[in-house]
Amino acid sequence: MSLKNSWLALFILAPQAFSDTEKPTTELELQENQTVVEGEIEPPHASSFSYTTDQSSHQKLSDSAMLFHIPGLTLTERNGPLGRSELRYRGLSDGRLRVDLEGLNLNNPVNGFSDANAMFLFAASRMQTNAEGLHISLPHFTAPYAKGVFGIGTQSSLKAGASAGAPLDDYSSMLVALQVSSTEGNFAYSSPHLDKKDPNNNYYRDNNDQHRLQALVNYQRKSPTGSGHALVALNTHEGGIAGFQSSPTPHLRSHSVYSGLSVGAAKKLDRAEFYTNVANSLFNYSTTDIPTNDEQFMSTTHEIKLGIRPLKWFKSMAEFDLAQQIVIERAYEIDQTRIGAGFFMKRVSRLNGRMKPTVFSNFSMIGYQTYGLVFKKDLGITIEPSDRMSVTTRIVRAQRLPTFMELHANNRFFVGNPDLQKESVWDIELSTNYRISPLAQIHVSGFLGWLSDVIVYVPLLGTKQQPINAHTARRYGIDVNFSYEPREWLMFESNNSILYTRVKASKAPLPQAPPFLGFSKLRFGTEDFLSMSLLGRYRGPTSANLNGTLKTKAYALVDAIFSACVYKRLTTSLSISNVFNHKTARDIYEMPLPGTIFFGQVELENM
Amino acid sequence: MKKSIIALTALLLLASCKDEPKFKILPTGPIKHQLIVMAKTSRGVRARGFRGATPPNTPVFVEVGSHNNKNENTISDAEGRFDVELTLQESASVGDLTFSVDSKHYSETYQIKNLPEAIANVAKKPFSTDNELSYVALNGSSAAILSSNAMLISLHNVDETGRLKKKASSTIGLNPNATANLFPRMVASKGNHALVPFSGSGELALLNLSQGSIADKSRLKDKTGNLYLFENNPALTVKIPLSVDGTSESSTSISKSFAHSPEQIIALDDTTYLASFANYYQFADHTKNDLAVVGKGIVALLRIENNKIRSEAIVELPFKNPRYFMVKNETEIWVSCAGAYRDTNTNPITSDDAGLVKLTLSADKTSLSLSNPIALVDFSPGQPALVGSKLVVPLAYGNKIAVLEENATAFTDNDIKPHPFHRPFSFTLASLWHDDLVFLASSDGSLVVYSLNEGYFPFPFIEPLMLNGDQDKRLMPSPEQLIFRFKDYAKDYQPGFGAWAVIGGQEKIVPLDLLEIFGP
Repeated sequence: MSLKNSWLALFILAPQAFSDTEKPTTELELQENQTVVEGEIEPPHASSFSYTTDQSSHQKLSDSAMLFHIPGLTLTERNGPLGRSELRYRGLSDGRLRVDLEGLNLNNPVNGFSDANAMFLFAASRMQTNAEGLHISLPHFTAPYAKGVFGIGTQSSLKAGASAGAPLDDYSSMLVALQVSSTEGNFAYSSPHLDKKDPNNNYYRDNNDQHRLQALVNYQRKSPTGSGHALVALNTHEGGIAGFQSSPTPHLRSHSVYSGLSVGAAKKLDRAEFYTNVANSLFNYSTTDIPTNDEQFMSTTHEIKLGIRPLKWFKSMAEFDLAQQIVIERAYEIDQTRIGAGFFMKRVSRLNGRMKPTVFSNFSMIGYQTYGLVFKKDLGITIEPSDRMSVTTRIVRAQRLPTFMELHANNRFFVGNPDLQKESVWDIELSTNYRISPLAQIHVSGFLGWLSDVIVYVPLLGTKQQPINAHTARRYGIDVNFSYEPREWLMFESNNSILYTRVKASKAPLPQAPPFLGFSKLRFGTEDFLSMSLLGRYRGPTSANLNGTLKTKAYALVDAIFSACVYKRLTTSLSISNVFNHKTARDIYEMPLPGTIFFGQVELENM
Repeated sequence: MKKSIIALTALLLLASCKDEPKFKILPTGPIKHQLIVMAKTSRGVRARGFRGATPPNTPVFVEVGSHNNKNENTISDAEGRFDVELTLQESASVGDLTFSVDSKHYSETYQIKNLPEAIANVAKKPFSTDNELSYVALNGSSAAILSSNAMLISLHNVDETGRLKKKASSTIGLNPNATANLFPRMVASKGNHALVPFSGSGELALLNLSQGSIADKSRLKDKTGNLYLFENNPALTVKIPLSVDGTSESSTSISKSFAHSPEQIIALDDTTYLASFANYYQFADHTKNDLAVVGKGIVALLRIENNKIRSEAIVELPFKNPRYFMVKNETEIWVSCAGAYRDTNTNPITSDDAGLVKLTLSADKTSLSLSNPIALVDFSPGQPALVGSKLVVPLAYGNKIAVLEENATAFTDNDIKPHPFHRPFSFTLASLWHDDLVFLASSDGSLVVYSLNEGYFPFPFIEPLMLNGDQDKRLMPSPEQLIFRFKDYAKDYQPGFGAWAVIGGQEKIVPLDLLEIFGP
């Protein structure tokens, strides 16, 4: 059996090839034979930063590594690659940053947490961030496409996956993707406080094995008279919690399951399109220990949307969307449910004028019985002073309800506060996309934000913590993305963020909000033949507590990826994370990042 | 242009100067101005000296005002205290104090303090090391700081004004094998050694500070060098099977046990230490209606010899969870047992089998004996203080204290001193400052002073001393330690910070300058 057939046997058979469809959507040419068609492209305002994945994005053990390409996004690794990793955007933790996969909510309503390694990034084609959240898009195919991946690395790391996509008929396509990954996770690290040359200052993380499975099926149909979609997503994670050196036991393990189902349909009539969408997410998180001390948190979210898009009502309005929305969140162990209902409105108006102004706005109002109205408002304008440049200014008002944990937890370490108020953020942004030349582009986004009723955790009775609303916090900063590809064999990309935060109550920065953060990539060679990429990730000293009295030191780490297309569609790669084996780096206080990790991978495409 | 550059440079230099507090330099001589205060009262001006302020029976002349002078003569008592209040109709900013000692007159002009303002200025800009401040042990001009998550003891120099150097002079890793479940609780340091109790593993670690290494680490052993084994009779029952004697299979019935959960250690001299063991087998969990299961409280007298820990004597206490030691003198030490906590979600905290007991060391410090047990029924103690022959015991996270005679045989309601104003203080520890004044730390980030003779808020400490600085008071910087720099404030004082409030929850030390209230 040929290698090609082996891959087919091992993974998922590509469906029968169909002819390309003609759909009124925007196309993003990723690779020669992978035509990605985005069903819904956000308005062209520059305050949303988009990252379209490239080959190197998928050539490391951890999918979350590709999030470094998004300026302003901070990734916090607690358990190394494949471990649970947190996201922060412009200083705000993942509880304040909605993460969704094609509309499926990935934030656990119990704690707001969205694990960066469980976001189905292995199948993602594009990520888009703005003040409202991180939106992950999946590719839709106009030609049959399949890919298989197999990789092994140090610490018994393993990654195997396959994805296949194809059009089913003139109007519909399907994507099926699966990935399993695993590592022993006993990576090396050192104490930054002790002599680096001391041979005893060389530790290995125990009870840190991590195992993941992610799978999804996405069906999409778009015809002249209507559309429909169905997305089923599942991920599971099982792993040890090495925690700090003083972790409670050497046997504490966590198990988490996420499953999501999103279905929707739209019907175009003469003057309007009616649509409905139902998105359901289930989260289950549990821990086990020896001696037995098991915990479990299960929760669900359901979001139902029923809307209308007028097609001929307003001439100047390119897009108008009005929907009723119902949100139901439930935490089972603490027996709490909250139901919200309201509406969502979106308008985009393209006006006449030399600078092609586009005015866009979003308005969402959901009312909850106990917590009142929760608003999300967004108003902006984009102008194009020249063909090379667009400038967007935007004002965003977003609110979030406290998580169930913040409201109702009651255990030995954390006591909820049922009197918590919703937290609000005002953000003003000014951003620009400037195409310096056909080969170079820069995106700059400055922002100024205020948080009110900011929720912070304070000590309670010596051994516990409790959340309180602590007046206001402010943040301002600038995110810069620069990319330059002067030759086909040379590419440079750099993302850098400067951030200032201040919590009024503590007169200190927001915890885990690096004042400086960056990622740069230099690629020699072409991705479809032979290439070497050098990647640098770096951040400044970061406050690790609410009072600014605990600091995580600055670090700079260098990664390298060597990639070669050895035979037609067979690509091999070797990634070396932390090339210089810098073992004292930490994302957060006393949570060590791994020393050097080698990971080799074979990819087979388009059989 | 040139001038502008010079001006800008000067401005930058000025801006780069550290904002360091200046300390009062007090006059030398027989008068201890660090114990004397002159401040406004509702009736006029009050001048007060605490024990040791003057030599015994010293004539004191107090004079206030520049035009219509008010003055009064008094004589300090046999211990150097005096207290004078002058009635004034008009406000005055300065006053004079003249002391007559051995036919010599010592006169000093005092700023008349506005006490609320002065008290608000006592807490100064906090120190931090960028690492955790889980526990601080002062050892001469050095502070040993425990960072429990970083598993680190760092030694920081303390300058002559009581300022902590941010950068560590040396560090010692506590967990060279990256073992889980150690949970270092605190550090006790004297001379060249330090002892750290690991609550999780039940071990004590002996650190050699000059070598920067762990010299010895072991569970509690008896005099013969075998692991100390004691009996819980009747056997205790836990929900999750445990193996606590190292020999048997895990069981829910706990009868024989090694010493577990080392809690508190104090250094009596360079080589002699006392260590307490709580033997906590199961924590209370109100969400599951689980009660705490706690074995006998144990105290061990330890000797450091040849970089090894050796047990001299071990006693089993009549109460549970020994958490605090109070040293009366070299051979008499009180130990306060907090009891088995029932539910740590309540305010105040409740516990069972709490009490106080006195330990007496033999003169050669080789044996221990128990006496004066006082059961604390329905009273879970915070960290107490010993003031002469009285024990001042705060109710843990409560709004009252108990004041007990050392020779009391029982604890009664008459011993309880509730706070008269019903303010929501939540006391966690008591610490003797000077004379009969005890500082009570409240978890809301305030210090309240209690006088054995005058009760709460004695002059000049008429208001709570807030530690939160300009932070939101709801962040509640709960002090976990209150360290007074001088053993005797009258004899040992030197300019600088008088105390440190260690706020572990916020990883900072708030230094206190009491000369904002006291002195000229």
